[in-house]
This record gives sequence, C-alpha cells and structure tokens, in this order.
Amino acid sequence: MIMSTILESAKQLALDHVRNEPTISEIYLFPADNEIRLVEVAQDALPWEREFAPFYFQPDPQRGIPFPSGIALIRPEDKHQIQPPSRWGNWEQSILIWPEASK
Amino acid sequence: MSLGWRTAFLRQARSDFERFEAMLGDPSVPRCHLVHYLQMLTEKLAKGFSTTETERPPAIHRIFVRFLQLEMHSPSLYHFSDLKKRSQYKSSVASLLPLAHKIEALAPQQAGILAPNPEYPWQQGTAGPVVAPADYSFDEIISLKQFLNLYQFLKRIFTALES
Repeated sequence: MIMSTILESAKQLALDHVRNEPTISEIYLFPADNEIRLVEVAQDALPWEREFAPFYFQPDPQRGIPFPSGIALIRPEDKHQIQPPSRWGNWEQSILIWPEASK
Repeated sequence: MSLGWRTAFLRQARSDFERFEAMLGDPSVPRCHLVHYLQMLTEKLAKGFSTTETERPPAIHRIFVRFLQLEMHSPSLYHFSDLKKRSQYKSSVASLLPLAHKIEALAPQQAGILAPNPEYPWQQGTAGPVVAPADYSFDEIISLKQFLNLYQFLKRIFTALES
C-alpha cells in the first residue's frame, strides 16, 4: 500500500520533471518504503566514476509529494553501469517509470 | 551537541554564508577570502543535500556543479525563488553553472601550483612571479554578473532552510 503510494507520487514527480526538461530521456524508480528514489537519465549529465550519488529533498505536500525524495542525474551510457548507493539496492530492482510504455 | 550529518553540513554552510555575506560588504577584506568562503559554503551546501542525517556525505567530485545541474533539470527548490515561471528559474540556475565551474576549478587540488586559487600562493608560469592570494583580484569570479546572482540564489536557499 505504501509502495503503491510512493509509486504514484514518483510518477507524478517524474512527469513534472519531464514536462519541464526535454533532455530527460528516462526515469527509474528504486523502490523503498519511506522515500522516492529516482534516477533521471539525461545526455548532458556529468559522468560518474563508480557510484552515482543522489541529492535528497524534503517532502513537498503542496506540490503533491508527501514523501522525501532522493534524485540522481546520470548519462545514458552510465545506466546499468554506474551503481546506486548500496542502500538503494541495484539496477535489477529498479522500475522504469518514464516513459511508461517502454517497459 | 550531536547533529545529524545533513543538518550539520547545512548548518556549517549557513555559518560560512554568514561570514561570506559580512565580508561582501567590507571592501577592506582581500577578495581571496570572499572566494574561499564562497567555495567552501557551496561545497558544504551541496554535500548537505547529498546526504541523509545518518550517513556521511559521499566523496563527490564537482558536487556543487552537480547540485545546480540537478536543480536545473528537476527543480526541487523552485518554490524558494521569487521567479513566477519555472522556465525563468531554470534559466536562472543554468546561468550560474559557468561560475560554479570556475569556483570549483579554483580549489587548490584542481588549480595546481601554477594557477590562481584562494588559499595558497602560486607561481605565474614556470618562471614567473610568485603571487599570494591576498594580492590577487579574482576579477574572473567577482566581477561577473553571475556572482551577485549566485549570492541571491544562495541567500534564498538559506533563508528558506531556516524557516
């Protein structure tokens, strides 16, 4: 139940981001019980070495985001290659939430 | 008093910002100190946002540029700004990126011993004069229009974090 709410909020946040930023090509959700963990893929992102690092933000209920969020920006070529922080799990656990139709 | 990592980094960034702000209005302060504080506070601010209360921030290269870049793509602090349109906010953050790159490049470990940095003396060229940061203008940072824009951006963030 909580995860489905996080998924809905994550999709809302993702949609908000891609509507305003055409360079974002994909957005992945790394499932968690207590926060929205997103990886956004964009061609103009900076490269990472071994592990990418997200930035964390407080909940924003006024914008319909009742959970804290962690968001990272990576290059397309780093997808599935550069690992998330260990507590985020791994790429196999990630869910492509935008664009929805491609998975 | 023990704080969480995130709170502690943001608290120290805020304190650095207050020193920076006080020096900004004092023409007797050598500019290297302004630039040094700006460098330190932007790094700590970005590190604060890159961690949670329970974890040390990760060692990230060019962290403030990354922070601005994420904020440009996926604004989470837009509501702190006084800009009415999100496109304006995005443009405003994007305009700060070249200055952020310059600030991060001034760190001694990036600049090396032959280029200006706000902390340690350097030699101009391989046989040129040795310069102390206190005598250098840092015009390439401070004279930019974006310098004051960055100050306003940081001020809004710290004001919002305080509330």
